[in-house]
Amino acid sequence: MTRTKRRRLAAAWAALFVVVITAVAVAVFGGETSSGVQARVAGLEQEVRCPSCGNLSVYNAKTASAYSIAGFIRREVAAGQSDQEIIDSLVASYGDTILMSPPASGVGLYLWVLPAVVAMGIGYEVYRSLGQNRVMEKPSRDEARDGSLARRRRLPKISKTFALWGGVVALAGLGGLAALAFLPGGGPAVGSELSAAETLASLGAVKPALQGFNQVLAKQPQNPSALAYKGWLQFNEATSQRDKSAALAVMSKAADLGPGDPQAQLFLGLALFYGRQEARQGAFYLDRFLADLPRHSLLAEAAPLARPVYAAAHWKIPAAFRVGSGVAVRVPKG
Amino acid sequence: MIRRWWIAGVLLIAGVAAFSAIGANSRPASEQILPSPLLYRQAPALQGQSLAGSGQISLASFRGRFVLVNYFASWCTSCAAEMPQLAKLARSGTVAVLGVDYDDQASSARSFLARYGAAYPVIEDPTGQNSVRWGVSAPPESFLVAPDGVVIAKIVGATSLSVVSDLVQLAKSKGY
Repeated sequence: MTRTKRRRLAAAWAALFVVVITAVAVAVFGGETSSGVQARVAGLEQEVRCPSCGNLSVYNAKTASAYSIAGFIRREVAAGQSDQEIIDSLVASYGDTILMSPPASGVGLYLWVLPAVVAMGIGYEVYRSLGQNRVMEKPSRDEARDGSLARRRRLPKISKTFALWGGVVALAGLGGLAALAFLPGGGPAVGSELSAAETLASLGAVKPALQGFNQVLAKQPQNPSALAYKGWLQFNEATSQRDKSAALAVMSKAADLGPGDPQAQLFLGLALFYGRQEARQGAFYLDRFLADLPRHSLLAEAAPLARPVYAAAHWKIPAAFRVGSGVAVRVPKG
Repeated sequence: MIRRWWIAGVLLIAGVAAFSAIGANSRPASEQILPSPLLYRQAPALQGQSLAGSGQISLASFRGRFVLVNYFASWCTSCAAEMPQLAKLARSGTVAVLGVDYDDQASSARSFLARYGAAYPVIEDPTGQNSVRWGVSAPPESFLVAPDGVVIAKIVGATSLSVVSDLVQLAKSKGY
């Protein structure tokens, strides 16, 4: 082989090397591969809840809304949107409930922290139990000879304390499930009807709202939210003392049935003051309303009505009511 | 040592009890419908091909009037229940009705609307992209949009002429 030929051959190999290295570099670093995009889309689909199928993610659901959201995610990914931008768009349309994981704030934070605390407690107890077993079980001569200790060590020994707390947690869980099954609120689904009636009530459409709450109560006569709203609307429409008393009785029943229902406590508290001038009794129910962690929008609407109740009762106005319209919520014009 | 365990135990029971109480007093997740995040904000963009084949339709062209944006589908039984009411509503002139055909076949939707005499404008949304922007879970869902383009009510499920008329009347009385 002549010198010139060798040079040409070397140049050809060098060119081939550069092409191969460039191709590999582009494949590895130059933008997302199709499998990378697929993985991103699948990851987002698993983070987002199908809005019409309870607790299924979009990835696992087969409904029209799930397909629409999956299509939306694919389009947005193709348009170069980041994961956070896509999630933010969906939250802006559907609210936080569209996310499979609860937000790490409010009650959601409790849901995140509780399992970690329980897991740490269980881990600590297991570690301690094993340590105790090691200390306690020194082999006797006979055990060492016939191997009975080795057999015993294979069986994990659970301490009494561990078993006791395990039982307590299991019982509390069963209690919670039983409460979910038997407390008011169970029974036929009324969520959409109640929500529609609440929307009408918030806009002041008394007659159709009352019809809506009556429909809910036909299915769930003990529903505290529907009873509370019904009583409140009747109270505001009442022209005689007799009608006001009847409405108060309905609200009182609602407050008894739903100690954790903010509306039930709020409406009764306000009605007791504005209908019967019972300021202290009214403030008592308003305190219960605050203890039920109401929504910010409801709190903002309630604050101007609640402050006079505390003033009349000579009670200190709670900080939550003092913020008043400072909460960033726009209420209907009026 | 025993005292420490007692304190830890009481705290644990209190925590579990609080958790159980919150769970027991909450509505099941499948029933929780929170107010739409769209309420009292400018309506999301809405435009698409007219189902009747008369070009593009846009919500923006309805500015200055109350509009009921109604997401429906020909395969949805509740939509069939509300359709005669919506047809009447559109004829009454109380409010403009703008239908959005959700995840549907155009031919099925056309015969569905013809059956109920619904002659208002309808946008096709075969891929459901408009419905995602509006946070629609399942049809029928309707949104009342004020003349200034703000969403002032969301109605989940079948609606009626009287409900929408009452809402419009109230909105007007509140200055919308």
